[in-house]
Amino acid sequence: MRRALSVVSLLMLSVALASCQFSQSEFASQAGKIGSEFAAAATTLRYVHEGRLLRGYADSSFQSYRSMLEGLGPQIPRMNGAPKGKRVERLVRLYRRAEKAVTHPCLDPGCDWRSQLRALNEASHAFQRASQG
Amino acid sequence: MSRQWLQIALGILTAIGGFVDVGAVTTAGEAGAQFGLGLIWAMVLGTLAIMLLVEMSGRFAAISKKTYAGAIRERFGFKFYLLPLSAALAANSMLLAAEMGGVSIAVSLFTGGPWRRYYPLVALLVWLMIWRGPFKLIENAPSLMGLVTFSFWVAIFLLGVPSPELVSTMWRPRVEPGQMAGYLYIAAAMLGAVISPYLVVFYSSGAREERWTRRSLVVNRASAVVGMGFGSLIGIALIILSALVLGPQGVGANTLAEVGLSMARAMGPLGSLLFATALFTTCLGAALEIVLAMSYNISQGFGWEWGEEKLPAEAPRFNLVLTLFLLLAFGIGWLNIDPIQLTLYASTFTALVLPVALFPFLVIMNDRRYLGQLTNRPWMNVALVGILLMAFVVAVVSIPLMVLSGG
Amino acid sequence: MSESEMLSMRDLMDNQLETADGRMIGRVADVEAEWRDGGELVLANLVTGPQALAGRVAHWLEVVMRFVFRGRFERTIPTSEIEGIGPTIKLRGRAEEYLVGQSDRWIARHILRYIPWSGYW
Repeated sequence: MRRALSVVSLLMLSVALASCQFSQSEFASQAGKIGSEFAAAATTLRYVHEGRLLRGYADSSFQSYRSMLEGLGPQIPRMNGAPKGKRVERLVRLYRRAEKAVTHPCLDPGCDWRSQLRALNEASHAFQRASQG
Repeated sequence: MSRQWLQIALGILTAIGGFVDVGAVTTAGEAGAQFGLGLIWAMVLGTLAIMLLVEMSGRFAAISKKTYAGAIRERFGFKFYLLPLSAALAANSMLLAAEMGGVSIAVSLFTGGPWRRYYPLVALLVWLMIWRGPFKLIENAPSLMGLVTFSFWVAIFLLGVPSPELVSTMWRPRVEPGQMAGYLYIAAAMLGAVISPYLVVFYSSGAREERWTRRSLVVNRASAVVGMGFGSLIGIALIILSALVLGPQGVGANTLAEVGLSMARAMGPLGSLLFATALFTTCLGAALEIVLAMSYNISQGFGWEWGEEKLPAEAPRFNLVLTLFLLLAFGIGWLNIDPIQLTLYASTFTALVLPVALFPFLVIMNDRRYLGQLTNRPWMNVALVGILLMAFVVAVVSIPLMVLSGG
Repeated sequence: MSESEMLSMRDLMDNQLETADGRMIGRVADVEAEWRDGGELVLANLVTGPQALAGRVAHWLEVVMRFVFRGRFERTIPTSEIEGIGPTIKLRGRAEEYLVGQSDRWIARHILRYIPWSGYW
């Protein structure tokens, strides 16, 4: 029994080591996630104003997006494998603008949802490009 | 004759209800959004495996008049029985918390309120339905409502023909460099979500609750093959929908709400409501089945009076266990863990302990003292060994992959 | 039970105990045998309880259980109570005639009655 366990854990370890080369840095995977959440927020926002989505569904969705992004922003420059200098400053700036749209999405007709949509799309593209290196 | 057809129809519905749950929705959504149709093979593979296992557990219960959990203790002794039992307890408590989270999120998608507000109510609803609801209601009500999941196929039809480029990802998955770990991790989690041991325990206990006999074998085979097949079609539909709508927009389907956006794209507000309804019913159905399966497992293993048809006071230990188990899962869900994250942990952990849960099949299903002439045919044993090998590989790779893919 | 039937350990250990009124009251955790006069080894009792179960897992666990429970939940059923052995071990008496058969009733009376809709009577 004990021997079987140690064989299994050894196998697990070697799988982990072997697949290291298939995996991404912390920054790349987090940037991918951030980009994907901003894309989701953009799509949700657009669908609401195109009449494809009810208000309740959108409210609930944005709560999920907020909890997925919670606390990620300030960590970006410190992440393992993050770019340096101007490039990371730009990412942080885009993040802040998009984050505002996620925190206070304009779901009613009166406000300027198009500029929020632009901010979300721009941030989403930037982060997804950054995650691919 | 018509009674048998009714039974077959109900069996199929139950199977669908058990197949599609928060794990299937999560992994299918992520798979489609991130890798196109490149993980349909994992869904198909998992379906074939669970079809086989469910058929075996139903046949075993119908012929031997015993349940899977009880047979494990009888055949392997108490000490061995503790192994699959503790694995099930750990995996199922996480999974139940995730399913109840899925139900709460579905409610939240209707109302717009925070899902954690509904979580206690959902737990109470699950408990009430099990405490006093008859078995038929638990089995059939969520499954009947689960028929809304067929709207996923309607949505695909409305969205039009997938591009040849997308179709080709079915056999040539598009995996960017650095995403291999993520790809394999979703494959492992999907297998863990589809091959759910709780379904096997629930199914074999249901066969005893309904007093299956040798004559029920046709019903058994039909519900296993057709039911799981339909369930799988719904999972595949979710993969296709996410691949069609979410992938091209860069949406990764990391939350349940995102999975439903594809329905909104195809059918407008109605589509998103259908998705929320489907999420509500399938997760509720799965939650009921998990609570019962865990209590069945323990009561049968320890030889206590059990049965959903009985009043709580007629099967006190069975009902006490299910109440305590529900409380445990409620507590896990109340820790501030995102339901999707919890689902992935539960599916990964299920994958990790799959060999332990499935190994007894190989012995029990070949024991003539239980099954007489109806033991496994050679091809079934070959398939079972194949499943076990696959489960072992998945078990070994699942945890390292989870760590590496940043899951 | 016919006299000539040979039983193996597998028919007894971990098998389901079913009473005359069709209640499932537990599973056999252990068995006790006795030397009778004339050197005959006779199966005397079926045993249930946490200590006996713990002993099946590991010796130290049995020691712990003995310290915790002090034998309070250990129950024996004489083999003379066995009516027949099939898929279950059928006992001659009703559930309330055995100590281990009373635990369900105890839980109903002391816990479930305080929970609504338990059907306690």
